[in-house]
Amino acid sequence: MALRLKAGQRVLDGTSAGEFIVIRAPDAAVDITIGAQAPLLDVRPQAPPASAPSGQAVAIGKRYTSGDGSLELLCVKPGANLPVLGGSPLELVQPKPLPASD
Amino acid sequence: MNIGMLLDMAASAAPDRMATGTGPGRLTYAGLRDGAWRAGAFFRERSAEYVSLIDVNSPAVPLALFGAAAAGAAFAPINYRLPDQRMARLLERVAPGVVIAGDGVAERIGAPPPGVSLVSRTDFLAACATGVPSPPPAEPRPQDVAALLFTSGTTGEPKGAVLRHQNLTSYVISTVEFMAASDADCALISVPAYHIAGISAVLSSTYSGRRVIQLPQFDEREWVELARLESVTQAMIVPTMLGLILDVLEGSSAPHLPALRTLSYGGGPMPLAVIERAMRLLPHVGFVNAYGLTETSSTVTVLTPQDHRDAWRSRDATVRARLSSVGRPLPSVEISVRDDAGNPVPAGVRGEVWVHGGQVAGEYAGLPTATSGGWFPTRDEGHLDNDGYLFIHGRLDDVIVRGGENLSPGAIEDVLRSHPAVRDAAVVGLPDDRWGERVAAMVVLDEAAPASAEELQAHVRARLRSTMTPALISFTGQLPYNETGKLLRRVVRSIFLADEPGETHE
Repeated sequence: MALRLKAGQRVLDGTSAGEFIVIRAPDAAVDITIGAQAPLLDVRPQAPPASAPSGQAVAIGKRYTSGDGSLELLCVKPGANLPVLGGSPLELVQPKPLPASD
Repeated sequence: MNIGMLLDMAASAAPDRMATGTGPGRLTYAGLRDGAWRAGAFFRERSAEYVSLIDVNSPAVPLALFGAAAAGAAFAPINYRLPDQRMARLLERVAPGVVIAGDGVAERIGAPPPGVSLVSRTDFLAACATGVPSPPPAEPRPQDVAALLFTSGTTGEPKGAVLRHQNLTSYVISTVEFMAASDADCALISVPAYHIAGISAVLSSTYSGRRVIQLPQFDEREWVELARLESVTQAMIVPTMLGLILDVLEGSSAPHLPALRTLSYGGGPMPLAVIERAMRLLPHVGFVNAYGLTETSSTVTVLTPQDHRDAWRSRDATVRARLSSVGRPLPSVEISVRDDAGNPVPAGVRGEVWVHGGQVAGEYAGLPTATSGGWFPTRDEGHLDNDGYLFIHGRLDDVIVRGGENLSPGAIEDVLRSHPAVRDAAVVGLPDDRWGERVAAMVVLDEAAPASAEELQAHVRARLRSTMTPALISFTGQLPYNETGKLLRRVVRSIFLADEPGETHE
């Protein structure tokens, strides 16, 4: 299902506890699924299923991006499924270390 | 995204890790989140739209900052050193709100303005430690105001710089790797909470899972003692603090802070002699020069530890000069140097520094936006070198206009400081009937090797041009800086103006 995402928005996995914040999104609707379903946006109307189907787990604080970098999500709650964009799973972003400045 | 989520994430990933404080009042990350939730309830019960704090550093700072977010209120700290009248005027700008008052502050305030309720730090900390913590009923939206920071007002009534949740979280997420700190890491915060660096230090440390300890207010001996006692691994200081810390270290036989790994500095120009001395004395420490403004949610450029070492060792004058630069932009920030018409200038040419990025707010309460197409003009004068290193020459508003010629006080101060007899220098413009303004310098001499005003004038004339040579030089034991290291040029100017015109004295 095609969804329009915007930076700062919350994207939720409907099948596990996974939650993401949109860091960057293309200026067009995207075909995104999490756990083979369209994700929930902004709020979770009910608690996620207790036993999630096993997918590729996502870890809190990690960023995930599309191959072309147009979509980037930050995982804020760990979940059981890696988001999939247009049939391709998002990739883990490798951190670029910066010196502590504050 | 909002700043409360940064704490939520840390508390769920590392609930038992130490977050803040020492001794009985210390808190784990889960404890800090619980405390912030209770603080949020406390502020909501009082219908606060602002949460202010007039106090030295303590664990009340992170509790108030995150508690304000939990209540959907803006954190609006006020400088506890302000004279009573100026403090009273700012208090009117934090209504309706709650003010957390440090020792002796309530007595100074007397009756607070309508809509403002006072709570002592002790009572606030007690409220944060009692009762069942429950998550806030609603969370702030990205566009809601997270912090309102009053500028130092060195040139008039303070402006309220507005920082939204999206600005602060954008800064943290793009510069800090989540939970990258180890159990042994510890940051020492000695910059006050009403300074953007005090806020960004709390947010960055939280997201990286680092323990922070607060020095109530800066004192070089206590700073060194605490850094030793707590095996502090990193700290942020302003340039004036560094020289004082080095004096203490040199006068002590104890090892020079073996646990310290990173020392970052910013908030004003760092004299070359001081940073070189620091690198000699603390060879195991990585130095970071961080340039940023309140309006940009803190740091926008960094001169990294490697940049420092490369510049220090280099025989190439261009590379060596970078020790006086503020480094290169963060990957998430763009910098452009522009002329008066707003057009970018080539490398090497001075102009106004403009900044762009998600962390850039460039907004003041009650005023139209200061940004243009998302770009914020900083009013700082600077130039870029060919490799993109940024050099800052001071505030454009401090530029001296002499006979139609724009003179940068920073450039004159740099040359004065390069004289072996000069420890510090401040240059200002004074009214002049013939030229509009004339150049005046206030100089701190090295007592061991003094120089005359004529010698210093000749030194400047030989390196710059005659129009940039100070017509007046006066000597002093100490230049006026505020507690966060900003040179108070208006004070320098008023000292000159209070003296007999035209007199050069010692």
